[in-house]
Amino acid sequence: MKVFLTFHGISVVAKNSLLISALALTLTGCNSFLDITPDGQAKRDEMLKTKSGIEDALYGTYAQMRQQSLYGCELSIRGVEVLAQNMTCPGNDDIEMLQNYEYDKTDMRSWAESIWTAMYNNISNANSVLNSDLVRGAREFPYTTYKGEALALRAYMHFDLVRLFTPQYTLNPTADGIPYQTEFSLVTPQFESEQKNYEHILADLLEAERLLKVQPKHQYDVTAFMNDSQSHLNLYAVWGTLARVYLTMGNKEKAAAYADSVITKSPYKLKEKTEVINDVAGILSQKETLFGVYYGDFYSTTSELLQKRTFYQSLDPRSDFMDYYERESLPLDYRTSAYFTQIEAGGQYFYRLSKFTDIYELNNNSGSRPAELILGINLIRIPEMYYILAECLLDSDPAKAKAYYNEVRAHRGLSALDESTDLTQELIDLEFFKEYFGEGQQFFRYKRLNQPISSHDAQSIYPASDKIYVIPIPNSEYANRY
Amino acid sequence: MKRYVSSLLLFSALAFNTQAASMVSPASKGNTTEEPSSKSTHQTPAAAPTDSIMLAGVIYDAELNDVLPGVSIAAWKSGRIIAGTTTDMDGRFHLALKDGNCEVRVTYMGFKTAYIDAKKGSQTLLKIMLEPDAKKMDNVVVTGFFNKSKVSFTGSVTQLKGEDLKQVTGVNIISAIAALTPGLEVVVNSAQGSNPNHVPELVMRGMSSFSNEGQSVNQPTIILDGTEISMQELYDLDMNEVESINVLKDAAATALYGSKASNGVIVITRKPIQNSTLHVSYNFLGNVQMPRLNEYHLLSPMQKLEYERMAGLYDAKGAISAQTGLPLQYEYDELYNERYKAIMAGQSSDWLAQPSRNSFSHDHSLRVYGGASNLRYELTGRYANTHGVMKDDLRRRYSIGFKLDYYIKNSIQISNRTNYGEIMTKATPYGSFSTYAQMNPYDRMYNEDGSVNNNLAWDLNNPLHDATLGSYSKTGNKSLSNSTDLRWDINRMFRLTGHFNVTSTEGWSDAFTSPFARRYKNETDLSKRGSLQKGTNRSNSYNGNIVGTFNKLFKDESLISASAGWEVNHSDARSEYLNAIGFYNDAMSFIGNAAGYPTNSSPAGTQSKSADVGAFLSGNYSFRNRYFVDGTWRLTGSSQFGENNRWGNFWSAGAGWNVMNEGFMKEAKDLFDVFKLRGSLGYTGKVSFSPFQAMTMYQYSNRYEYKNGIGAVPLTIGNVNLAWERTMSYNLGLDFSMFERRLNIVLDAYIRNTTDLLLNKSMAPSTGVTSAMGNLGELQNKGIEFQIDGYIFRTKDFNWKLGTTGYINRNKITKINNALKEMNKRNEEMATAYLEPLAQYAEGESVTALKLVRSGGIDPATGREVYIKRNGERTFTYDATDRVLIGDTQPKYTGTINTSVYWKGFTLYALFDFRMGGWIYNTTRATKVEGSNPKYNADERVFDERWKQPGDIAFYKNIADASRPQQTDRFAEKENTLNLGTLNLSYEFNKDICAKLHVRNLRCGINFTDIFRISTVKIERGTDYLYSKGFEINVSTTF
Repeated sequence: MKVFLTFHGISVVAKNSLLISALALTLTGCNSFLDITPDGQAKRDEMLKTKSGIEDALYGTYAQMRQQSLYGCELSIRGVEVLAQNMTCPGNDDIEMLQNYEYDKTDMRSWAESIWTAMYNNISNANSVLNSDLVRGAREFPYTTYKGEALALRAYMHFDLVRLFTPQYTLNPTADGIPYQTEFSLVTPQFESEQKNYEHILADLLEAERLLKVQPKHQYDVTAFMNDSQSHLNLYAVWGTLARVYLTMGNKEKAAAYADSVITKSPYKLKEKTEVINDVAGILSQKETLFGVYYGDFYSTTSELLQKRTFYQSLDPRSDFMDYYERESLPLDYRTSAYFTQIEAGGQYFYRLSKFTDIYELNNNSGSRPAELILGINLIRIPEMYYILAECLLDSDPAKAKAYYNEVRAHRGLSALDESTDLTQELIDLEFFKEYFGEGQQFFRYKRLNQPISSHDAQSIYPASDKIYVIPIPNSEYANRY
Repeated sequence: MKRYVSSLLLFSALAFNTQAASMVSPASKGNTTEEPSSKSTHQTPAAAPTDSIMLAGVIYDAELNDVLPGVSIAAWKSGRIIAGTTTDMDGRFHLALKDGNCEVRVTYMGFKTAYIDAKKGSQTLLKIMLEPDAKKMDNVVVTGFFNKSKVSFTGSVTQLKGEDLKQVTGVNIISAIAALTPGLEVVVNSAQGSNPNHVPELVMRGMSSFSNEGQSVNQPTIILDGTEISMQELYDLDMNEVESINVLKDAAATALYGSKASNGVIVITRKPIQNSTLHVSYNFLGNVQMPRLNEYHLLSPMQKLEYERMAGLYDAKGAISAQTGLPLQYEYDELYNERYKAIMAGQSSDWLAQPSRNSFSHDHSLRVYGGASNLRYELTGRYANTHGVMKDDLRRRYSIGFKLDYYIKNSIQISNRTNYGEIMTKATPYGSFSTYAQMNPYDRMYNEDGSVNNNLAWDLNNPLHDATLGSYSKTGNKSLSNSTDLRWDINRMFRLTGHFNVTSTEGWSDAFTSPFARRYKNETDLSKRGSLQKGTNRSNSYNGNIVGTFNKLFKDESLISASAGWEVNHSDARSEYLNAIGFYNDAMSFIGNAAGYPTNSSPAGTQSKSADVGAFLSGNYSFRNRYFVDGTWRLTGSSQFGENNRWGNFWSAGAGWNVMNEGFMKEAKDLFDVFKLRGSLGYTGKVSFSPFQAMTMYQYSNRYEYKNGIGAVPLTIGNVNLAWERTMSYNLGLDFSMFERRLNIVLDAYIRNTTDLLLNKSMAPSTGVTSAMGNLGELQNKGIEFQIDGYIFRTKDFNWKLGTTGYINRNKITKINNALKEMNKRNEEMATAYLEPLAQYAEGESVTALKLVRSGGIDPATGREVYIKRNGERTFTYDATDRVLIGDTQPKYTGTINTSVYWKGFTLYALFDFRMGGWIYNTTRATKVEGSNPKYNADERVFDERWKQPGDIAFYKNIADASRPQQTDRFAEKENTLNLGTLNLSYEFNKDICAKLHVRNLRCGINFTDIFRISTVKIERGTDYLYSKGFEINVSTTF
């Protein structure tokens, strides 16, 4: 180019000045010409400049939580429930590997990798919102809500990764953690200690709590996004998550405080025993759910995996599950018949976990489903808060603990615990087992309490150890750090 | 028109000198209003000085007997122009000279130079007939934006004429271009063979990208009359319309294309319309092709049975039948005996012949053109029906085109061309050819009642079953394109050209699988059998450019030329797919007959939009036609990049030396025609990734529906720092021609360093993505290419020409990134799933390096293979990390030898091509000799050198071991091939015969293609689609 300029640059520019000026004019218009956005897509920078764009990005993040490898299946009804030995599928190699905790098998590695990858991908979706200009400096409603929910999403997802892929914090406070991703960029986040992970999770949740308390000043700031708050990580869901996180960290005081806040300050209440049936049948419990993911098509998963019986595919409840429900013969535990049904196949009867089966879909009359019901997967429900309080107060205030415990029992058709009988951890565990069967929390509970796990056929016991409780972090995470 | 355009560059330069002449003779302008035919009304200048000379007359095209406007007439004296003029619209000129002591040259681009003897004094009724120059394209390089004078061109270019291509083959323009251009190669696709529906891929001067699939990232840019076209559009182009092809190779030649230039540019120019009366030319091409089955050496029925026996298929090993309780050996013996009897009774099925056929294809092309000096027209039409050598496939092409050229005075030309084309293709229903090569010859193909025999040995599927059903796979495409070209000669020095093109295409694809196909064997639900996949695609694109050029020739023959241009491209394409299932009847594939959609399937579609804008400046200075320099600067902005890197700068610089024009060469001047040294360097780029990897785009989808709204998620995290892939190239060249062009040599040496190679690198998932595009790795290609040709004899009625081209390229990875190491690891894990070894990249090695574990041969005691570890240790355990470099799969040396003999209208042309020194992993030996499954037919070498019992010293392992062998150097072979690609005999009828037949010219020929091939490697080629050989018959005439 230099050569060119020395020899002819000047003459060219002078003599073709007409052309050059025309050129200059056209080039200025080029940048907008080169800004091309295909249909159905939007540039991040432009999309996150508007409220509706931010809302769409948050909708996308919530929607991605229902992926099969996340809460749409593996982290709710399948993977973690099989790890808890609650569900089984004879002859299915993958299920057997999960049951035997053979995390080093190729299929298990890719199973773990799919969870790890999908979760971090969705964390980056939350980070994309959090790192946009409008949300980063949010001071006013509704941006405070957007930021609060995005922070809570980020913390919620990281928390479940920590629970899956690192040792139980109370047993090993100095353990290595996972990377806590807060940026939306291609820079690989660094691994950090588990303690740091929890610090980050708490920081995000506490900030979310603060932001979600901001109330709208103008009515016109309230958009459709604020409706159906059960399907969002709202303030009460953040409290519930905080209670869960503090309990996992062994901070019973804080856990109890947040669980108490939920019970006393939230509009959610325990449902009556007569309402137990079909209350979570593919829908968010109207009375009890603090947070659940909206999922219009959850039925296709639950019907194939739980309701129908297909060889090598569908899941059966553990063989002795009924023993847990029948440990007290009378009065009737309303959950037994609400959660389980029997189907006949080839002259044999099989128990099915029908807890999540959408009865309207099952009976082919989805048209008659009341409009106010939100289809979806329940992720935090209020009974857990009672159990948290019961567990946290067990030593310091046994009477109060027993009261919380009895309250749930009363709402499930069970009589209160004898005055003479002391409430024990085992009794709370049994209640939790019966209440949360199939909801993806049992494995984490065993892990938190470092309890041995009884195999799905009740024939053997897996002693508590990191071998079963810590899923190895996928190799791809280590191999591609440069 | 081409001729006209190209001439302007020179003549407008010459025109500087004509002003003096026109003072004396103002007639050249003033006469334009006169009738062209009124030759007798020439004005004779009244007041010419007595000692001066006046030359005047008319100049004609000798071939068409038409006047030629714009011809340069220049008077030369001691190497300088002293006076000059150009002919007007009617071909007339006047030139006043001081005296006759000079040389007067009549030059016109595309014609041989004529001389006027000025010593004779004034001549005012000259009639000069210019003979067309056979090598007319030699004088300019067509860059696609403007034409450059070849004399002072510093870049590397190969120029081809339409006739050259047709001499090689009339069928496949891509392979014809590659055969004649050193440095340009068709990517060998052994699986696709001679499939007429497979569009070949090209690589110029070595691979410049890492890729596991295909070479599409290495494709050169193709420009047809100023508009970029795809490889497929080139494949379907009517060769009869092609006037010339300029293959631009180095930076100096391609820099105008900036971001698209790295892989070279092929510029195609269609025929200009000549100023003539109505002409009609017709071309017929018939093509007879026969399958090339001689590369298959399969077992005869008896051999096959014997092989099965030796492989232990009839050895029950003492097992007891569960049903009868008798030894299973009884059943096995019975089976063997049955087959033996059938073979003895003469059962021998020729499976290979079933899907193959001899095919006949025909191609008709018609061109009607003519017009006067200010309005010319052209109408083209084509119908081509191509059949391949596998049954029932076809590729049908129709096209029509219309072009108008309009001239306003002598300074403005406007052309408009409209083309409409249709393509219809159908794939063979017979499926992959390799299936037929697997079938056992002792099995009947059909039952006695003529139905397909579905009861084959070892439960094999009879491929004829599916082939005879109503399944099909068809595609179609329609395209409409319109371009407008404008040229305005503002004055003697400035010119402005403009080009604008709009193209719109629409395509469809239908793939129907019969409900009776084998794949539905186990489907009980009738409403799920049979499927129809429908796709449609649409695209709209436009491009335009404006180029201003300036030329000035000084009296000492120094020349300055400069150009500035602006360009814009925009394209928008989308495709939609849907899938329907449940067809109850084989013959009713209409979508209205489908029962429904497959479960869990939803409509699919893709869309891509892109735009780019560019501007360039280019200049050239030639000092006294001896030394010259040129430079180009190009700016491109593309929508595919993020705002950080949206604009890219590219440049080139070059210098040359016309040794021939030096003083010291004066005495040798009669000997040399061209003796030029040139060199260039420059930075060019390419974009080889899908759009929007550089930006974060949110994708909306109904999958993200969330109660009160529809969600969107980012497609990926955009790499804002993504930069253009850039290639720094250096080129040194020599153009040499002597003895009146009896010997011509073109020699080029180059180095191309590609940096910032774009590659999809694996990411730690915690970033949020598992892979991201990055600029990684560096590659180097260096090589030499040459072209030598010459006449051994040359007389009027007889000449013999001999030529050769050669090409050597060395590819080397100069920098490798961790991401590539990851790719190596992944390739290693996937190795067992592929027949051929996958790439293992390493610094200092070629991207096409063949790396295998060394083999120590077969252990005589056990019949197992011994592997040699890197440290020389011998082992039975295969470890992929013991791989060593065996060689490069790209040939060390490729080239062609061509010869043509002309005698009294007959031309015999032969083109050999050879490839030497490339390493090949012989998959036939690895899968059909050693790793063969004894239930399938195998290569006849399956018996040779197999280990049979302890003590055997064998090359291949135990005959009873049917497992696929590990990838070791036992199966690596160096390949040398020689192929007679073309043998062409044609005859041009002489004028007398033509006159009797009332045609202007008539030519016919026969062209044998791929008739002879020798190779040092015995391998089955054409595994999916057969290779073919045959001949083409060509008749062309103009009347």
